[in-house]
Amino acid sequence: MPRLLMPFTLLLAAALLPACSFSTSSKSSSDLASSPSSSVPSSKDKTKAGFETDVRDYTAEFAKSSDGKLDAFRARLGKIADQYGLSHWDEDKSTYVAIGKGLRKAGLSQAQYEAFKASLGESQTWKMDAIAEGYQQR
Amino acid sequence: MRLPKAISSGKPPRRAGGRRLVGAGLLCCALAARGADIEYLYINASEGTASGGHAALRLGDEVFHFQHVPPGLLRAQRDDFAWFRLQYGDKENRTIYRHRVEVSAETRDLLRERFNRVLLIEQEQFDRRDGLEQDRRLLETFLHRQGEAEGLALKGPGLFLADGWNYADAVPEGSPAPLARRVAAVFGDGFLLAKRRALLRSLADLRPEVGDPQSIDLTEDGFRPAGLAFAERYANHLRALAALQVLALGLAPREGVLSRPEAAEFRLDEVEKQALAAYRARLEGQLLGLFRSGREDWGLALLVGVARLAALDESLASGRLVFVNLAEPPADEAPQAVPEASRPPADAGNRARFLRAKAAMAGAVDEWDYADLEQAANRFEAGGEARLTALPAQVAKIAPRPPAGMTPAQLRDALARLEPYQQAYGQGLAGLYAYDLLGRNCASEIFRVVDAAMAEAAGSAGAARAESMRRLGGQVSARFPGFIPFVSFQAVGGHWRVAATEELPSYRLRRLEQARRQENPLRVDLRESNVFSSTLYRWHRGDAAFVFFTDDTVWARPLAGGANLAAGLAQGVFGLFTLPWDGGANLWQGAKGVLVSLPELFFFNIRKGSFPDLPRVAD
Repeated sequence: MPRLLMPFTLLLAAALLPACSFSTSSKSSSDLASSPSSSVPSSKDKTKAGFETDVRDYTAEFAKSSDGKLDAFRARLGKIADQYGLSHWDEDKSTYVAIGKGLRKAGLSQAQYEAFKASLGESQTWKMDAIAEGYQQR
Repeated sequence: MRLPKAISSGKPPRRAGGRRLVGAGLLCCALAARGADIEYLYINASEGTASGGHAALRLGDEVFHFQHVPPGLLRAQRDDFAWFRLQYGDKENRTIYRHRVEVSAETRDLLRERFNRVLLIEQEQFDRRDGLEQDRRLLETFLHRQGEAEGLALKGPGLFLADGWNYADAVPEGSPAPLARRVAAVFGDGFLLAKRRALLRSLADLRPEVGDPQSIDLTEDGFRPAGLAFAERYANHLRALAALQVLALGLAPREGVLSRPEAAEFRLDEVEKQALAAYRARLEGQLLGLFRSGREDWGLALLVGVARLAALDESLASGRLVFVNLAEPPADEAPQAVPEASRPPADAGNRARFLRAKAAMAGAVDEWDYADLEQAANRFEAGGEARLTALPAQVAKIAPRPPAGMTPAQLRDALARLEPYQQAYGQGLAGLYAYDLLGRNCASEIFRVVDAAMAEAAGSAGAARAESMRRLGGQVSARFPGFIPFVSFQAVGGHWRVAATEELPSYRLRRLEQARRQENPLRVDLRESNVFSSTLYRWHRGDAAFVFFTDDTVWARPLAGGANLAAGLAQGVFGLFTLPWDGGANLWQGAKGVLVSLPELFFFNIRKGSFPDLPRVAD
């Protein structure tokens, strides 16, 4: 009996009520919305690794897209860093190593890579070195 | 390679799609040989947000899933598994079922790339949408003074400034902060004043950039950086002006911004003090670097950094750790206290995590270390239930004023151009991501993305099925009835290469099992069967009124459902009387209570009771 009625009641519930999770935290990225710390891993190493992965992935997509502007890139990096609790991302070596990994992942030509390295590294030696370090890592 | 964790269910795992569960040791060997595993997750139904259940795909520590978001869209989401389990398994109190699927590391990476790409593309598109909405609201505020009384809330300035501060006020002579003197030494006298003038000029020239609606070209596969909205640029200018004001006046953090706990654990030894002193010097250098930086958001970083400098100075002077308070502003509605019997032992974990972070102060400290210490100290001091932000983000309100160079006619023109663009953009998104219960939902999208990944690997859409057979053991259709989350779980069990099926019981069921082991099981069952005598659950307004829990009983379910139905009806009738005062909240909850009670009459359970304020326990 329960087995026969289950599909019926399930269909009834599905018809009357929403299926799939409805996000209750769909606040926009407004100024008031601060990154809740509990949504990121609660260990430092995991947090840092998560940040580097996100920067790498974003850099790869950005480098492959044709209409990216540098200020948009920086703005997104700032938002990623904010989520992970890092305010001086532009002075942190891990940011540039991750950018280098992203450039490799994007599969750029050598000339494209050099151009990105100079612009994303703001032509500063230590930043470009860190990008090169990330680019060389497999 | 990640080996499977111990089966955490208190119950024996079930069979999956006709395959008998292999033993844990055998499973380890099998996975070691194949390289990786992924998990298809089914989260059972609940009253609050998903009466039809939910589905997700776990890849390593990340969980990808699709959530129904306003206004009727389906959006990709990524969470770390611990967070996902806290949200769904604990707070929403739902049982998670998972199929572990054997795949190669390459297949797992292929799937991760595809799902993450979907996420990145949507993130830019939805950020652009949100930016347009922020711009519209800001322009309307400028034009019609709507919302002026409430003020524009900005995170960051509240570290030093009270509501109502004015960026346009001339900065009076004050006693500048020590950092301001360093800035003058490095960049020259008058640098900060010149910086302020340049910022005011830049703010006066700020204009919204509105494109032609015809130029909107949204595709599911097109990554386009969203860039910064006009409202974000405006806010960045204001924060930078606030930071310069703080430096010029030498303001100290406002009361409550710094935490000064007195517990013995916060005492600093000489090694820790030396490490913090070294980090202080490093931080000061980074703050000076902000003035050379090309970042538009440097104002917030400066505000946070100056607050941290104050905390470090006080720590070094007092020999006790002082830190910036990360507690989120209180919510409109006070959190529901979690009953003592149901509270996880968070404090011991928080203390251990804090001591670990403090011990890390022995070496060279960077921002990652310091932020970890700050976070752990806040968590330890405030307790497990506190909601913390990742970075200091105290808010102060400011009366919004349009950029000085913008006339009312220009504001009206900008708004007139923005509105059709925003509308067209919203329609474009709705065309791509409209939620459809029967065609595009949390389950169907997972299989659609999996198929796309397989097609990409195979080089053609036509070969996706064969590729899926090779990599996953089979293909699951997103079409009826595969889009129903629990049916999709069965379909994965029947088609994919499932090595094991497990059940992660909901929070209440776990605590119930624990209580049964510690006390007389019959007494526990009787006591915890209803909301009145339960020590594990406390009713709150997020749940519709009910009497009996029915997720851990089957045969008594119709009877208990009858009582729950009556409770729902009673709340609904009560809601008719309270309608003028509560905006229909009780009426709506009563209707929801009736709807989720009806299936109980037919032995089917949706309602679980939720624990929205459960804390995350430190790792």
